[in-house]
Amino acid sequence: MDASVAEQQRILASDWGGGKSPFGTDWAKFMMWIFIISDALTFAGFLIAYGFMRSISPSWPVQTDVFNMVLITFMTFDLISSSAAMAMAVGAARAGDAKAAVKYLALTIVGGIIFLGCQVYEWYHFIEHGARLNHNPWGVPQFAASFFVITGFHGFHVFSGLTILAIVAIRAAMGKYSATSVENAGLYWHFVDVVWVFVFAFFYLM
Amino acid sequence: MSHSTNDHAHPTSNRQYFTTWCWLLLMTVFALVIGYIHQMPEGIKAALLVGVTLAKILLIGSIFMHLKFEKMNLVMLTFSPLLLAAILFFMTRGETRMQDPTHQVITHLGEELHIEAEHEK
Repeated sequence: MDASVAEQQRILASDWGGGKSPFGTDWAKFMMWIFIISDALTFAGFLIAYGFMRSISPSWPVQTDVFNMVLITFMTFDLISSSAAMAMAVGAARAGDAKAAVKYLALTIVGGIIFLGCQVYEWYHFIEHGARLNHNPWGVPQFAASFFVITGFHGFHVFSGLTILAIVAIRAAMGKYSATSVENAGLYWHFVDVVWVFVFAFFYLM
Repeated sequence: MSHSTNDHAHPTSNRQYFTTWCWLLLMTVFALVIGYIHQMPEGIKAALLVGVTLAKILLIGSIFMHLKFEKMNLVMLTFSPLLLAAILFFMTRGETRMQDPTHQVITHLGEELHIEAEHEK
């Protein structure tokens, strides 16, 4: 009898025993992670499709000759810095320092806007040189198509991330915020940065 | 609603975020240099870039996204897309030039083939 009671208590105290999150986190954060995982798979699909197209293509333009690598590197620096500012915003929010949280959120947003501006400029420059979804001057139609779809999808994520961050920042400035909402917005922003790390390496450098 | 087990503290300081930022920038420069070395064999270049990318996402994930302080089951869950992507990559590899040096698979990307015309003759 004692053994079964002890066993029961062991089960109830375990991760899946009920009364607490088995993943050790609240539902909002966990759901954001689930969303990030699904979105990561979408980007993985795009990048693998790009890798496949490139592997079966007889040739592929040399990216360092086609792209303005100074601009692309600056964009990468900018997004990483924005991510660092976001991490500091989360730290400030967790410490209850709303003023610092708003300051770092504002820095994060500025970084994101600069990134989007650079991306728009890059697209303008590309389109001006004759790149379209179905053809481009570099001889491989899939090159420009991959560029526009992958960077466009990523850019849209940056834009939606900026929208979320702006809402969180405004609410934080009004005193209506929780550390959790700042942290969850931060998770999404870091995910956007992680995707860019992959795009930078596989599309622009490899 | 159950509370997060690490609600009480996120011990990462701004100094640690700054150090992580410095490392990420260094790795970015390293990746850029690799990208410019065109004489490097493709396989080595790919391995180096994949390695740097994985190192960067490990840093961003563990420090910026606080996975270092999360339960292992959540951490394993977040790495599942990487595993699935790797599986998909290797599944499609067999149809590419990487595994088909004689180019028997798709070789006429974007061009019209005239095989039907030959059969009709």
